Amino acid sequence: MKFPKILLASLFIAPSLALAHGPTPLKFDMEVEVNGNPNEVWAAVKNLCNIKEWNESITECVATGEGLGAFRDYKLDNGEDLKEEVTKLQDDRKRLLTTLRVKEGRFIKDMPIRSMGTFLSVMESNGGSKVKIRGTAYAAFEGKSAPPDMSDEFCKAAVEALHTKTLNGLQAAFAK
Amino acid sequence: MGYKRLSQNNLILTLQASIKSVVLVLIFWVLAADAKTQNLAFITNQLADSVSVIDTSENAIIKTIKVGVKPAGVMASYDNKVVYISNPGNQEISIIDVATLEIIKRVTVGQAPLALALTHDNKTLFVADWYMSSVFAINTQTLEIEKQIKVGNAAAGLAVSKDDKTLFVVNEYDHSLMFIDIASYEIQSEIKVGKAPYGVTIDDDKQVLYVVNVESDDVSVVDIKSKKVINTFPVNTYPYITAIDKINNRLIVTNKRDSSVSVVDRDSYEEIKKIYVGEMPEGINIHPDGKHAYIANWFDGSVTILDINNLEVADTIETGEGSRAYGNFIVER
Repeated sequence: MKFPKILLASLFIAPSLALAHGPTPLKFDMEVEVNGNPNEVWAAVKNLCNIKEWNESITECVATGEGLGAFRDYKLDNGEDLKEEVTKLQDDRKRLLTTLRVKEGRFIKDMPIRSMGTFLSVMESNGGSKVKIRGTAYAAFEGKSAPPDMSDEFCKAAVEALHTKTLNGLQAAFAK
Repeated sequence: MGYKRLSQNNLILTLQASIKSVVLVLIFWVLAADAKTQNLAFITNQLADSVSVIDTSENAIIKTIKVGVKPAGVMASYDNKVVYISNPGNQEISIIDVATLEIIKRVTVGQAPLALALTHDNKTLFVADWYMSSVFAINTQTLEIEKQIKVGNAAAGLAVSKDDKTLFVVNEYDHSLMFIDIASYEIQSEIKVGKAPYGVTIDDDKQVLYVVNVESDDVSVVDIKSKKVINTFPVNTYPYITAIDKINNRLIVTNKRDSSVSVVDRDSYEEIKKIYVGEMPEGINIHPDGKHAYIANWFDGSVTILDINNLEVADTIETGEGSRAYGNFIVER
């Protein structure tokens, strides 16, 4: 049994997963009304790879595991691969928290964030459902003067655009 | 006869004593009314570039102060005269005068000043810089930087020992706690705590530190003398910092991504109750009245007032976007 040396070495020198903090978190607070009862919508929301059906920017998705600690690997239409872990799952409150951690030194194209934590929650509203995204993210750039395409504002717009597609797609899927 | 006289004398003495106590009570009452103390909570609103000042007797905001950019950390001086605010967005420490609620000085430091701590003689302010792996020691009289102390990666939390001899620094990305000698600014030792430690709180009575570990959802109890983790207790998702309720002998830990606080016994570390507060709570202080905890909710932009005796939410105040209040934020004036 021989491990390629380089692989073994990489086990030790591989950059650790970036941690979630930074000096200033970005905030995301969005919601849509969905035409479906909360239980059905919640069942759809917690099925991890359903986002591929809703979000037009996501071209592939593979889910691994179930419940807490499960994760989804997905590909964006710009070729970037992302991996999110289920870090909280509350059936009683119909809330799912997924966490994206980006390896140190990696900058996701068009969305250079270091980490992202996203709560998707479902609640009853006007006989249907309301789906909320309440999330945080940190820009990957470290230092006091970020270039425009690495700035907090740039990252905020990019993540917001991704979340908007998820929510709009979810709304459209239930409108049918 | 003799007995009767004694009894009369006693009566006179008792009367005199009663009059004295009434007079004393009156004097105290007049004094108290005259020098009515007011407790104020200074809440940093990171996404509004402001500080909300709450008068805790009415739980009303009496002033919103524009500070620097992205204010996060807060440290009230022990003499209740000033409040220091860290602004990582423009590398500024804003100094607020408690009497006038105006900014009296601005100091530029580092790249992203965040956590703050102060020696109990109010002479040295420590500022942890997120990007520079450093803690700056600032002389509060001259406002000059006396020393840049190289620490670990992502210095997230600071505390100072009661005798002002030791500075404790939490390095989030190194999962460690450092002990620094304040006289020499030398690192004495560094120990591993949990995963991604953040807030650190000193317990003077027990001579321990509570280091909250964001990624392992627990709290390391560190014995100051032996410099060892003597216990670890679980809390909930993404904990932030611990407050000590000395009267009820409990610890209260904010759980940012559970939108709750865990109330834990200070001796056994058993959870007594978990209470949902606002969304994504961060900073927490116990009010000097010993009856309430003030908790800043980052996502909601609000402050939850928790009754720490019955462990129910007593009130909620809207503050500003991104309330963090990371540090000691309640002062008396």
